[in-house]
Amino acid sequence: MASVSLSNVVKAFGAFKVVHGVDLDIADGEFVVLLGPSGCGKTTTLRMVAGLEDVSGGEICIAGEAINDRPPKDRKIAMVFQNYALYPHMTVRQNMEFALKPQKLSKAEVDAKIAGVAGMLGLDALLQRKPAQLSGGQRQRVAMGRAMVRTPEVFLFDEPLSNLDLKLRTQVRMEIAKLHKQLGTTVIYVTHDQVEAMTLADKIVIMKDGYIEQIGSPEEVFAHPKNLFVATFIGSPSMNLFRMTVERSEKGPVLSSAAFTIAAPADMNGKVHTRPGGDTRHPPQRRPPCPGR
Amino acid sequence: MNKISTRQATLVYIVTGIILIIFMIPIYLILASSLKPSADMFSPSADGLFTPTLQHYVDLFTLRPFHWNIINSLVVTLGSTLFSVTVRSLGAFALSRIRHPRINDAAFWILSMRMFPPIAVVVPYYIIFKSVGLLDTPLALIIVYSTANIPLTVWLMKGFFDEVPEALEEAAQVDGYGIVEIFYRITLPLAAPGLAVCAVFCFIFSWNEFLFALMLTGSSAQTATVAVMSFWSSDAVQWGRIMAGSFIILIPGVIFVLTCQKWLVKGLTLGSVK
Ligand SMILES: Nc1ncnc2c1ncn2[C@@H]1O[C@H](COP(=O)(O)OP(=O)(O)OP(=O)(O)O)[C@@H](O)[C@H]1O
Ligand SMILES: [Mg+2]
Repeated sequence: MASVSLSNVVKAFGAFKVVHGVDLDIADGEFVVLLGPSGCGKTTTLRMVAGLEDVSGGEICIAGEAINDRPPKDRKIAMVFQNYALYPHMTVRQNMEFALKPQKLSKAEVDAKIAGVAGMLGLDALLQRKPAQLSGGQRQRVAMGRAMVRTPEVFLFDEPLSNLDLKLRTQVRMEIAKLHKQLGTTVIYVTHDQVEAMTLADKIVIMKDGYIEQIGSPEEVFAHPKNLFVATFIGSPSMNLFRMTVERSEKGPVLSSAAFTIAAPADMNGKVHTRPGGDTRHPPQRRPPCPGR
Repeated sequence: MNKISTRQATLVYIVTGIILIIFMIPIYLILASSLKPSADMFSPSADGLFTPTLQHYVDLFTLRPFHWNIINSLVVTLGSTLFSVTVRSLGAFALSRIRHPRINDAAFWILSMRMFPPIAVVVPYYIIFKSVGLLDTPLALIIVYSTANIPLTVWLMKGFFDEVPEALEEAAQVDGYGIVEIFYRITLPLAAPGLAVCAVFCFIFSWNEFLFALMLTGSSAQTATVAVMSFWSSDAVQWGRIMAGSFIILIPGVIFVLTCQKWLVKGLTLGSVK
């Protein structure tokens, strides 16, 4: 178990910047969900934490240690890949055994772990099959299983439930929540599914085009979106938007449109600026480097 | 797959049959001639029949040390095949995975070695091996054969490595493995068909090679192909022995190819990535 922190992490592919100085602090045992539209840099961010992608700038720390130059195998992580990445020449059981081998457990321990995870994910009947003999959803569950048998410091999940039917998805989601409660391992979880995000997360990170738009608890991002993007992105059906004008009245400032007028929220007092386009993105801020350095 | 109609199937069989006959005729002639008594070789009886004899085969192993030639051939061939396949798969893996702007130039440089004729290097090889005392040893031929096919086989293997999804190697990295283990336990098993093709190429090349073997060996490291040609001397051409030797030479290649065939399977990486 470990905390994870990203400070001003930048990723560029050649001249093309896809992650623009991300700052993120994840406490030990926290369940963090990365949420955002397709192509916003969720997978890239996760891959940088895993060490599969070089960091172009900034620093990533796990358990207070900077790990920018540490190879993936020494980062004590387990990851579910968006494209599964199952070992095709191994059976389901062998896939899990392979993932367990570096931990040097006894045969009994290995068997117990595999049995536990297989039961949890409904893989019992599939243990002797090879990936080619499985359906998409079954493959995804095997990918989950292969990560969950390990005991890493940090779990990285990249859309692990995207290919499951609603019932199975709900069920596996519960299992993930249970496992997290049981083990208390830090989790970084990428998803498109807002229900997943809302139900699983301690903290939601909303990304867009390589920037973090808001970090907050599910309630916070839902009820108090920091900007228009978050407001419209979260919630289904999405929030109604009205273009209003700020006006003075005898009761204080009001917001008015052709159709209706409401009192301006108290916390808006003295803070209202006009920003054409509604972009209220906050400029990225530098933070001090990781502790323990 | 589309269903093939009976007529199409018949056509396929007929064409295959014709091709097979064309390829089998020389082999038949070799076998038949190797069994003919010397007297019948050029004056066949009217009905084409003859009394088969194993005399030429017996002569090969009693009057000549043909078993030693075969052992030499086997040592050289297996040695160079093993060496080539091991080393080249590593080279091809590097070419397939390293991301560097100039890596394609390196790959092309390897290919460019294919551009000059082998005979151009026979004399330099001769001089080098003579000066280090390797002339007429199997090691000399192993060295030559192991380097001769580098371009072809490295490029071949690279193609097979390119087919193995990198995501699998990434998954293994995350699972706690280093690059060497990943290569032997994930990538190489999945590129096994490439390895088999490569091995077949190397085996057939080394086993059949004549020019270098002729120039770089004398009596002690002589290979089977050179030995067979030595039955063609200025005083007499011993056709029976040449044919018997040729027929024996055919056999190991066939066995090796059949052995490797079971590795030549498609779709090893099926089901691994979405
Ligand atoms: N190897 C690469 N080279 C160049 N650009 C890349 C590379 N990998 C990703 N990108 C770009 O980086 C951006 C972020 O990609 P990323 O895969 O992180 O998105 P994502 O948020 O995971 O999207 P999705 O929800 O569709 O999985 C995209 O614009 C993508 O085109
Ligand atoms: Mg992604």
